Amino acid sequence: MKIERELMRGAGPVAVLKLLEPGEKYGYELVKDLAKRSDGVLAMGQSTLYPMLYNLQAKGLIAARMDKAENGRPRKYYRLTGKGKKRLAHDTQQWQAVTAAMGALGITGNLQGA
Amino acid sequence: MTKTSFRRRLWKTPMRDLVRGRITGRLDIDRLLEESSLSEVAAGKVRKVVKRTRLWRLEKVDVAHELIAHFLDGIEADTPIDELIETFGNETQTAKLIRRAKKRQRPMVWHAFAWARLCFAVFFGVYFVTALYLMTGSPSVTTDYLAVLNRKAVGVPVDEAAWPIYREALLQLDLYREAEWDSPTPYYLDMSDEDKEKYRREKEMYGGDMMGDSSGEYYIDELDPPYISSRWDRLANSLRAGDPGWDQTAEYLRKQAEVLELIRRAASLPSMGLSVGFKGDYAPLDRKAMGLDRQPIQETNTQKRLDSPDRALINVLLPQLGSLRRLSLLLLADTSRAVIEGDGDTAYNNIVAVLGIAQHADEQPLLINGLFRVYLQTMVYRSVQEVMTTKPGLWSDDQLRKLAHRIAGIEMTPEDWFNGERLWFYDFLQRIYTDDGEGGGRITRQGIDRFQLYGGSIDAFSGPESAPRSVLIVAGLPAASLLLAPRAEMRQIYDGLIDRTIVEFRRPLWLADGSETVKDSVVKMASSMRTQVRYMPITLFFPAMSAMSRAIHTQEGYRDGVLIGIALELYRREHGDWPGALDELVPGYLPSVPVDRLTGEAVRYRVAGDGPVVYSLGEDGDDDGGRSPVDEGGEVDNDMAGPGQFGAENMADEKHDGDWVLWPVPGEG
Repeated sequence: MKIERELMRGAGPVAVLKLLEPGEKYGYELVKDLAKRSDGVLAMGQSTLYPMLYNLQAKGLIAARMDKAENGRPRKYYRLTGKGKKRLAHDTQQWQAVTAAMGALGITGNLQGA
Repeated sequence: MTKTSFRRRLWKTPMRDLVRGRITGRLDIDRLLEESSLSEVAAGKVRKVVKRTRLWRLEKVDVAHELIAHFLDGIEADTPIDELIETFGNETQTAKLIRRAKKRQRPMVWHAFAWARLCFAVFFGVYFVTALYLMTGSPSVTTDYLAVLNRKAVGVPVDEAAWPIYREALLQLDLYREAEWDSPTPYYLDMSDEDKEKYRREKEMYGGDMMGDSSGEYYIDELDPPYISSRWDRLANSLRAGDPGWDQTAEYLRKQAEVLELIRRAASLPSMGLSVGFKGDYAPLDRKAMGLDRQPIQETNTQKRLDSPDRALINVLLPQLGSLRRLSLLLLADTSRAVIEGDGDTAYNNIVAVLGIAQHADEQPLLINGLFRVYLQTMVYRSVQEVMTTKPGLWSDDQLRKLAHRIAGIEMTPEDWFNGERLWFYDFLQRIYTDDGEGGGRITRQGIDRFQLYGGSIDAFSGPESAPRSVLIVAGLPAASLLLAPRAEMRQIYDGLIDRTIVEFRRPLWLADGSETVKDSVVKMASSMRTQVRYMPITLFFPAMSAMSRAIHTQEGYRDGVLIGIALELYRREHGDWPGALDELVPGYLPSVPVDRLTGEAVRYRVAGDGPVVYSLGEDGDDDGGRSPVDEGGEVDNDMAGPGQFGAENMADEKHDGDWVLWPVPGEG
């Protein structure tokens, strides 16, 4: 299922922050995890992912570092910053409230109950 | 791996690496792609995206690294390259998003600069569009203010018009002939050494005597006859038999008896009947009579402006004032002659004639005309004093009574003079602003031109504009529109100042409460950069109204003095002595005792050894026994104690202490 662009704009950054919560990841890894863990719903290509990562970085929510992969190739790793953790916690609450509200309206609730 | 040339590596090395002495070649994206071994299609996608981001070179390298790594990671994870390419997304859209996101990461200084650049571009765009819009407006001259100025003159019946007779007198006098320099003139002989030296210097510099006229230009002035030269007014009134040059002067005046009679006849008519106009408007005879065809020694911007076809009211000439002044001085000089020769009738007729000339000068409702009238009347009061103090018995009782009634009956309307100033200002506004039909309007390029003209940066409205000037005007229009008050506001502020001037003038001087005067307001306006520019025509051109009001009040005080002086003389003739108090003059000699214009009380009076003294307490309001103040040089300066001349605070100090003497005025007569 392809998510609407506007909805993706809201959900995408939180999803990326959440994926970085356990530890740092590189771009392709994030794409794969997103597709896998969201069952393809939040799958995104490079054209969406990298601008999003740069934006999060500009806002100070994530930080990047260059390192060498196991094969010796240079690779950029992203990790959550302190500010990013706070934002994730805040956004998580917001999404939970939205989900609860949607559930109360019988939108997400039906799915959970199904 | 392809080996790259040193030159290419050098070219692809960022400056920061070069500074550190390292030739890294790390800006070489093509090399990166080559080394990555990506397929042609994938490498092409990366290349296109990176190129289309139009980012800084190091940023591009960073993006290239990231995208290459993504593909390679995908390949290593056994994702088919086709799938990776398919999910990559649109290159243009990707480049755009990456560019936007990457720019957000740039330093604060860059963002500040970018904003500044954007603001400047927007400002410039708006400014340019505004300039184009403003260029479309032009002033529309809808009111002929010259006609308003001449309304009274045009309505004068031919047989009541004095001007044709004055003109005949002027032509006969031939005042504006070439200067004669060869012989020392009587008034030259009478000069102090210092004045002689100054006079010689001027003569050497300009080849003639200097005289300013209403246009501010200088012409060679005539030297003969001396007593109508504009520079020596006091001398003209203070000559006595035996003074250097007296014989020549008296002889000259006798020769001009017929012309003097012409002048007196003209002065007895009810109106002047001269329509004023621009330099080219005057008829040839008028031009000759008033010396309008004289060539100035130096051609100045003002001169060029007056010669131009521009019909702004500010360019209207009032040459009749200068001519009437000369005729008046001639009559007053003849009065001196008549007094010495015991010819009371001629002296009387001359005095009355100058009052007629003064009234004629007031035909156009302008401040300059009004002030000229005030000036002539003050000269008359001095001449009356001269006659009455040098030959108290020269005039009969009947002549004195008639003269008193004539002087008391002078009706002036200074309000008209103040209001008249609006005419030229309104004319100025209609020539610089557009007209929206409701009193509003915006500044025009012609308006800017006019500012340049009056500011002296251009000579006249002549020929097409040069390209640089046009650019300047276009560039200046929006700024002028923004900084300068719009038409309606400009007029409202100006009208407010004129209205307040009239209110201030009508209020008795002793009721002045220290609140902000018109003068204060204009000074305040000129002292703030914002208001000075916003109301530039006002701050530049608003006349010194306070000084004008003061001059009128001062003259009115002297009129009170001369009327009391005549009444005192009539009383003395009847009773053999001066009255004990001014009350005794009422009602037989005066309808009432005039009030002290500075205190609101009755004017003071005392009889000293050499006769009576009538005085106002002056600015300081204390009684100094009718003694005039003296100036820094120890000279008596009676006007110093007059209305607003020196200020009450200064008048209180010992040095300047004194009263404002109204009769007899010290140093006169």
